[in-house]
Amino acid sequence: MTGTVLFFMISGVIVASAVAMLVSRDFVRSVLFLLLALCSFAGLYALLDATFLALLQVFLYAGAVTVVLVFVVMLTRPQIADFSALLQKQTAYAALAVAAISLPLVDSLVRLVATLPGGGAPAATTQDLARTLMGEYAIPFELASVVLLAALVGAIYLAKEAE
Amino acid sequence: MVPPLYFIILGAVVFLIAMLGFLTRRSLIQALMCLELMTAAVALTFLAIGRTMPDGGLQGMAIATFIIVIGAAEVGMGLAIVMLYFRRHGDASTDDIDLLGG
Repeated sequence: MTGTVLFFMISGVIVASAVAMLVSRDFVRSVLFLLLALCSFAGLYALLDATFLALLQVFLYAGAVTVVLVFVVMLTRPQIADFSALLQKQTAYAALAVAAISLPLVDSLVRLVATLPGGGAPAATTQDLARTLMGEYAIPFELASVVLLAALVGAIYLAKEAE
Repeated sequence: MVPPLYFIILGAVVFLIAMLGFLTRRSLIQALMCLELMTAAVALTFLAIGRTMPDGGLQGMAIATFIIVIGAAEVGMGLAIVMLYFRRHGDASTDDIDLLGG
């Protein structure tokens, strides 16, 4: 019962901050709304008993990604796009595309949930997750570290000042 | 326990809001922010479906971990590209990127 109330509170915050992020005229404010949404996502992960994922979300997304986003916003000083300046035609097409995707998406998800086994199992702990990542998922885990290294080197190479 | 359907519907709603933003925003940075939101929504869906499994959500958590790793790599590279583009053109708007437009 408490979980359901918490879920609706957090999901209200997420949807409101996602919409506010999109309509905000100020870039820094937009990034702050993104921060709020991502932190609220961490709350939902905790509600699903994924405590490690919730922490990872706060550290990585809310911490690192948001700070980097603020840095880039400050460095590039993007022009604040006025809503009336947006092409109405493109917005209409985009809304049409989203509406066209939403119906089959929600329909298939609802049908998928009907086939799921009922959850009654005790939640997996962080220890279990560590064993799985180092055992069954050892190769993807190592590949992920290579991907991160490649992204790091690539980002430094791209962003460095031209000689 | 909260029904998994709630989480999945919320994930779909946030994904669609972010997708609308990705298609309509004019700034590369805001497009990247929308991508981050879409990534988080997909991770939530994996966690919600994984939690119903007999293993107590272990597979869902493992997949969500990789999703977060990919998201971090993606935003790092994406922002580096934004910086590079800004340095060359003095602007970071998607309107000006039409080199492939013919």
